[in-house]
Amino acid sequence: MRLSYNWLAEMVDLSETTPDDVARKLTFHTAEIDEVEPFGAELAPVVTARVTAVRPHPDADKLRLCTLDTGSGDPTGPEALEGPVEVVCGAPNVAEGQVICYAPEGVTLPGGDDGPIVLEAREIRGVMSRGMICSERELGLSDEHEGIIVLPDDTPIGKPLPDALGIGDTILELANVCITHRPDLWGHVGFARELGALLRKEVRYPEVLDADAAPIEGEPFPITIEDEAGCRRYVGIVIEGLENGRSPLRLRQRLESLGVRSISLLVDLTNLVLLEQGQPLHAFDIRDLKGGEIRVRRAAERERMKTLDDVERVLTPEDLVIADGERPVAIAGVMGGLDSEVREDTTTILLESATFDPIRVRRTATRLNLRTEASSRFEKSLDPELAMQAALRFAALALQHCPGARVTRVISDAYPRPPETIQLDLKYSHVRRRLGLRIPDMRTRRHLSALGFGTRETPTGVRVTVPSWRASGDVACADDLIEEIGRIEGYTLIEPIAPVGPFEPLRPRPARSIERRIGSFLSMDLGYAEVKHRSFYGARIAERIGVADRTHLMVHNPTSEEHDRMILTTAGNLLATVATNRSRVAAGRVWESARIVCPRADAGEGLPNERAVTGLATWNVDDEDAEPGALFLSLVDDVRRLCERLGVSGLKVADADEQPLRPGFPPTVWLHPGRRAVFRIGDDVLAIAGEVLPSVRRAYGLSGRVAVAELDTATLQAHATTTGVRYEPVLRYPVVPFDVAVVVPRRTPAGDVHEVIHDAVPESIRDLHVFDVYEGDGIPEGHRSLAFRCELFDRSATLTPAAADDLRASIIARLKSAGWAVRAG
Amino acid sequence: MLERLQALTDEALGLVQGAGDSAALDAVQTAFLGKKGKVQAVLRTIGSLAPEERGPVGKAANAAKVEIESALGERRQALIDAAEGELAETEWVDATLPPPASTGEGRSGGTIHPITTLVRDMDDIFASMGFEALDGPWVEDDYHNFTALNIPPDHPARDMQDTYWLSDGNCLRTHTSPVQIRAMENNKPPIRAVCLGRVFRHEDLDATHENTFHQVEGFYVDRQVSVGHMLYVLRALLREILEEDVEVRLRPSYFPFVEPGFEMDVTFRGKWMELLGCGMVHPKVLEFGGIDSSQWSGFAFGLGIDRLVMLRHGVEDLRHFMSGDLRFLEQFHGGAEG
Repeated sequence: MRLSYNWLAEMVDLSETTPDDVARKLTFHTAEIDEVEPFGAELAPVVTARVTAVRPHPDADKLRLCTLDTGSGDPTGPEALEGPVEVVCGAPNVAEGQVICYAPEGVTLPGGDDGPIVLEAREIRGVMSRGMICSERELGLSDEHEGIIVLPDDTPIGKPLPDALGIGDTILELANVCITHRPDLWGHVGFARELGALLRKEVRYPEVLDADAAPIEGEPFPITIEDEAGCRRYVGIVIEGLENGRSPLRLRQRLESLGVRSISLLVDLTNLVLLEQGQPLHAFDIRDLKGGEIRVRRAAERERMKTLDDVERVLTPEDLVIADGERPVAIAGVMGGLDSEVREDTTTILLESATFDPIRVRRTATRLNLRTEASSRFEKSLDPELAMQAALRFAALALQHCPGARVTRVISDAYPRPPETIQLDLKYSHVRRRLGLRIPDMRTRRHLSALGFGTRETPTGVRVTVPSWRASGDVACADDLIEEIGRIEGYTLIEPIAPVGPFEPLRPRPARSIERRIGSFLSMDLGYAEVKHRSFYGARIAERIGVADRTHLMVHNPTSEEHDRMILTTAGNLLATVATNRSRVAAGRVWESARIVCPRADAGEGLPNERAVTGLATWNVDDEDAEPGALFLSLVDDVRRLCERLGVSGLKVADADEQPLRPGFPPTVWLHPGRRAVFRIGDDVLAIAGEVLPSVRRAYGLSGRVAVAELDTATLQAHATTTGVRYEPVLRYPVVPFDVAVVVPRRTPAGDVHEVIHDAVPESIRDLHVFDVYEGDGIPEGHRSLAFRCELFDRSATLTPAAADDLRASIIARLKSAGWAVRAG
Repeated sequence: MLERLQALTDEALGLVQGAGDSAALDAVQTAFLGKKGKVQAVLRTIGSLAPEERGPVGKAANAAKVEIESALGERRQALIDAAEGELAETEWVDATLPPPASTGEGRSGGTIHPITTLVRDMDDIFASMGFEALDGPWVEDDYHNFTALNIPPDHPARDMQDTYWLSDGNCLRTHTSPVQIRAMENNKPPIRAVCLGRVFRHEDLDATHENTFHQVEGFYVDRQVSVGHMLYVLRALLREILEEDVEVRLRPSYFPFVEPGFEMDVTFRGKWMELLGCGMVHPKVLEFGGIDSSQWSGFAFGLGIDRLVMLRHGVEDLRHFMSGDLRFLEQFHGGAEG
């Protein structure tokens, strides 16, 4: 919202302060002022001057030569202003003796739609013209260019125009979000009240019509509120004898400076009151109100009306309308109707000043996508008392601007249930304790009264009466009063105070620490780069990984089709990142911490199934599979090492089918069926890792090999240990190396053989690993030989050859009983 | 002529079905549909036909083309599917085997994302001051994201949050503040909690606007908490986070879940900078969280992490954070400790 400094100054004495100071005061005590900018400054080089002589142009019938007296010259003004000047003028209305607006040569004028005008001294049909006499259009004041502006006779000459016309101003631009809760601050009066309290000055509130001063006899205009929930108050004033012409320049300029277009006097006055009081008004031409009555009612289903912006609106019973005897003439609180609007020949109006239900106005404005100055105020919950105040203010202004205007009928006031006055008890000690500020009781009372709160002392504090303009939802509890006291006193006076509280050790923070341990190991030890992706993807990525037919949790109002659903797996976005980087980085590794979300299976209410996961991707453009599955095995090994680092024990790695990481999530159809591993502890699935299918790779335009893994973070956390490693005594006796080759059917996992060997002599074996895999000559068809190496030992003594033989024999016996041939020993 | 076309089509379809790999399919395509292909050859002879025959033959030739093309496409897909199915056999690798030694190379280039690094730093600072780290769901219900934070339905303050709504009626959390409510639901006061996490706003993307970013939310409930206490704690935290001996000041502001509400400015690199929103927890919010507001009071604050990371490293464009671009990420190598 924009505030006029001059306007505020009309209500509060600002003679000892400056616009910047006022902006600062408001920012630190009321609401943030974003910007302070001069208005009308571009007109400062234009000065008032008197036309002392008018002669015909020797060479052109329609042009005149004018001699101008620019006064003694403003000492601060441009040098060109010394002595009389001659200009050529084509306006029909120029005459000797007029006070006019003179723009000297060299000046840049705002101009009309064609942009700024730069004035140069130039010859017009052989006569030198030093500047020009201006019309409103050249000054950017309006589109009017038929004649020059003629100022009142008593206007001092030689003055810069903004001063002479009183149109120079400073505009304070306000951050609207700061006053969302303050309906009283949506007009200048509210800010004047604030400044009065802050500067400790009296506030001169604008004059309103004294309805009791002159007896009014006519019957009030009939107004019925049929929907009392939708309309709290409806004030109507009939004003006759109006002339709806063009507004005076100053009024137009004031509206202009606050960003409101001038329409006609009557419309301009409603807008002026809106900006001054914060109360939206609407003027109906009384000739258009059929049946001579107003009804505030719900719209009928699919009832139609054309609004001021010439759009036909289709209404619902949720919408509140202002209707006459026949049809709706306005959408309550949102916009007036096209065919009851005031016109050039309007002489009698019914002025509406009402208080509508904020929620209803907001819903209607939202549904019609029609947010107006009026609706944005009504939805903040306006004070019903303001409705009468603003109506009387409008009447005073109308009578002032139209000499023939009068109020002849008693003011209509439909006000079914005036709200009760709010009273709050406030303890002084509560104020001090909440703010942490030793504020004297007397100042607490003073701040409240300065803002218009009634105060009456009680034994421990004060009983506060909330004024109507703060009582429509804004101030409702003692804490709301503390804010008022604190901000007027000044928040910057509050000193930091060390809290005194129980200091107890933090409980363990498992979620955070597991994520940190995972990330540190992947990035610092395994060389992965951490990436972040948005939590969405679109149809394109879903298709690429083959999950487009799965039910995703969809974004109802996506900002782009690339972001229209929640991810079901990290694979989709990780592969996109691989594609982003592959042209520059031939081989790389990335990981991300993310959450996957799938809709609830029961489609019931409540939150969807959201799982924290860790996604990994690794790629190698040059991988021609010379070492079959190298990238896949490396990724599997990384996941295994990560689990080891987290202290997970009992981990089993096995070939996976298309199973999902978690029930409810999609099967891992993007993975290679021969290179797909699942990591389990008992029945819990910790992770799934695999190489990406060639067709998926191609969909992303990727060559070489790519592998991805997804880890369920919570399951990992459940199996991770934080207590550290279990120590085993250092081995004090020599070890005996032992190699064994086992011939197994081709698809028997090495891990199974590993387990058999280990379990044969679990207390006496260490460092067991595969060191060679062989298929071919000497090995039966469909079989392969797995060569293991390990060290055998005895923890309590040197292993004797006999004992070593026993261990070897146990291992071989176990292998044979598993049905495998043992090749060497 | 029509019979000849039919024969050609049958021949092509037979070859397509018999093709064992994509090279064979390419050959069929060239032989029948190529510029010098058999179907084209038929079309070239149309001119020599009687005018009344031209139409039907042209139509039949085009139909033949379409039929062969679609058969080729289907067969191609079938070959891919079969090949991918066969991969289970032909490319099977024993996942329990150790990886080739070469895959251990090049393990020094890892990096932590700069947002994660700041989150960790802040997490440590908050922990050192006794704030427990909590988190809540990213998909939130209306109650926790709005209503319990004193933003009832149809409240104008809902405009302050540009919200992504989901098809199940929930929303993506627009701030970390719902974690306040969840903290109160699950803990008894005194509470000192912090949430560092992801939030979402309905925004079109550009250099300074993201739809996905990160916030930190601090929350403190105890007996007789004052604005002075909040100032003390926030100044101490900000001195650690910004690594400067900052001063702080409060300005009035409005957030529905606090009363009074403030903007806090800090002196940073010699200038006042608007940094965070804060305030005393609104009594209604305490009550929504099941805490007796006559016995307990508290303060809460929230600030954007992404902007701080931009300040910290001089990042010019928000979009880098979510880009996955290693040219951006690799610059933060060495910036983090485990």
